[in-house]
Amino acid sequence: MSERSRTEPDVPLRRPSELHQELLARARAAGHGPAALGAFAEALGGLDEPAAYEAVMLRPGVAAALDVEARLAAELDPYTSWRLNLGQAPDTDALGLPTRGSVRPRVVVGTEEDREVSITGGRRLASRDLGDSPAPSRSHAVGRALAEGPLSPSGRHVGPGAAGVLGVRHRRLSCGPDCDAARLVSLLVTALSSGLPVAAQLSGAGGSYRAVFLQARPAGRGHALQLHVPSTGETAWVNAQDVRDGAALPVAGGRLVALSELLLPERREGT
Amino acid sequence: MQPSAPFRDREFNGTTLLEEWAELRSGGETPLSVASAVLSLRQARAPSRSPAPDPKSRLSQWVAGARAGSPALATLVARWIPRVRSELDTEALLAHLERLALVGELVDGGRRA
Repeated sequence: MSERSRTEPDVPLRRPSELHQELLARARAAGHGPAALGAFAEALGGLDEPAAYEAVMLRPGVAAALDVEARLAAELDPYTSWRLNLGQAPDTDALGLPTRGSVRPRVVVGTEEDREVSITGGRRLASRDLGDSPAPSRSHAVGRALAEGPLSPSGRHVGPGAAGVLGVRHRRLSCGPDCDAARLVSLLVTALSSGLPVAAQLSGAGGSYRAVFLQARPAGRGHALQLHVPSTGETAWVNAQDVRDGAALPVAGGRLVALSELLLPERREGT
Repeated sequence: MQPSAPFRDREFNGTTLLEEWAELRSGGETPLSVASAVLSLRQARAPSRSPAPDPKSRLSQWVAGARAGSPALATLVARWIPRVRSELDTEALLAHLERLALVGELVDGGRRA
C-alpha cells in the first residue's frame, strides 16, 4: 500500500473529471486532512462540473466579509471557500460537510458592464448584455466571451477569473463587413498601451483563429503590435496599419486578414 | 525616469512572458493563482506592511512566504529579483505578473477555442 493510500481516502467521485480532481488536489495541497478530503470528495461527487465550480467560488457576500489575506487564502483553497460559502468555519475537519446533491450555492457571474457591441461605420449599432445571448446560461455566454470567468478544465468559464480579481472587465466588439476598422484598431492600441492584453478573432481564407495581442510599441508614425496565436503557437510583430487595412498577417500561413472581433479589456474604476 | 534595461526589453512582455506562462502552467499555477499573487505582492510592497527597507528585500520576503503554496511563481519572481534596482523596476515586475495572469487566461481560452 502506498503512503498516500494509507493516509488518505479513495476519492469517491461518481463523475470524476479533471475539475473534480483539480479541486481535490488543491484542497490536498492546502494541507487538509483525510477526513476533510473524503467528505469534500463525497460532496463534490454529487455535483456536475458547473455546480461544483460554483460551489467553491467565494460568493461576493462571503468574500466581502473577509480581510484581504483571508480572501486570498480562500480563493486558493476550494475546501475553505466551500465551507465559507456554507457559513461554516474554515479548517475544521470535524464539522459535517453537506451530503451529495444538497448544495447549489449561487454565484453571480458576469457584471452589468459586460456587453457585446457591434461597430459599423464608426457607430455603435448594438450593445447588449452578454447574458441576453441565446447560449444555454448566462455563465456560459460570459464564458465564451472570456469576459469574466476562469477556464475550467472542460473549457467552461464560470465565476470571477484572473481578470475579475485584477479589476478588469471586457466588452466584445464585433466588426462586420463595413466595420470601422480604424476605430477598432485605435481601441486595441489604447488597451495594449495601458498594459492590458487583448483577445481577438482573426479570419480569412485560412478560417478563423483566436489570437491574443500581447503589447503595442510605437513604430514610425504608428504602432507595432505583438500577436500570439495559441492554437498554432505562432508569435509575430505586425503593423497596426496592416491590421487596420486588412493586409495579410504573418501567422497561419498569411491567410488571416480580417479582425472580426475584439474582447476589449477595461480597468474598473479604483483598480 | 525609466525602469532598468531588463524591464524595458522588447520581449519582456512578449515571448519572455509566453515562455514564463508555459513554465508556470506546467508548475501547477493558474491565471487565478497568479492574479491572487499579484494582489498579495502589491500588499507586501507597501512599506507600511513590511519592515523590509527596500523593494528587493520586500520581494524576497514575499518569495520566502510563497515557496510552499506557489513554488513555480516564487521561483519566477526570485529569478527577477537580482535585476530589480528601483521602485520603478518593482512596478514593472508587478505589471508584468499582472499581464502574465491576464495573458494566461486568454491564451488558455484561445487554445481551447
